[in-house]
Amino acid sequence: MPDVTPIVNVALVLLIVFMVVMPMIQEGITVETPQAQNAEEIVEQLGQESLILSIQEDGSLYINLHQVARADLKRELATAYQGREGKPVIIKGSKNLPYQEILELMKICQGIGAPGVDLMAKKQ
Amino acid sequence: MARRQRRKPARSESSLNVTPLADVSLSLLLGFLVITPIIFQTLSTKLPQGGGVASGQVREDPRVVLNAEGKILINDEEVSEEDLPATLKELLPSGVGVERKVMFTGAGEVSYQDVVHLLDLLKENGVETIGIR
Repeated sequence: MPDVTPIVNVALVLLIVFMVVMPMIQEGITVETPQAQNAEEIVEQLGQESLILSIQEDGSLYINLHQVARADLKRELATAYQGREGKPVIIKGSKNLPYQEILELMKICQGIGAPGVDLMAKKQ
Repeated sequence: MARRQRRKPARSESSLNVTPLADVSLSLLLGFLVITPIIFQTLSTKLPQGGGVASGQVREDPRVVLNAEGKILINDEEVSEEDLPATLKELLPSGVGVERKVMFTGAGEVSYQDVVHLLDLLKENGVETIGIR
């Protein structure tokens, strides 16, 4: 019988690492989102990621996990939106921003043909 | 010789069978990797589309405005947060199969938290679709 103890060690360590790291991966870009009691839950499976546009309190912008300059936003977002026609863009905005900032992002989303935006919020 | 023969079985019994543990942990690991769903909590809104108003649309959706002073206006009339449920109930269609929709306009000066709070209130009071303009 082969000695499986090293495999068990590796597997258990990987398991623990994944259990710890998964919430961090889910978190994505750290943004303090506004609170909403009636937010709907969207469950996303691996391999069909949504397009998430994040804006932090200092105004820095991210498409999914990579940062983009404000000047390139429309072009980059249009590229990222290809193949997702008809789906909403998820906007993850900091709650301390003025609404103007979010409104501008919404206009850009409208410009690339998104039918709507989902505003990320947290229930509490 | 007799001593050695007695020791051998004792040593083989002392080793623990970890194969089931390996099976369980490996399949748990695979399970975590594959099915980990990512859950977002969002408020969904609609953006105006280029095609203009759909033909045959007679009903005018209530207009909800959050102005720069943080006041809520529904169809140009100021409404307090407490009166919002009653006002919405009056304005929204109650039939089955009718889309309960409002158009929302927010002033750029108000904080995003306040806007989301109002959208949250709208959803709470039966609004199904929020159009942004």
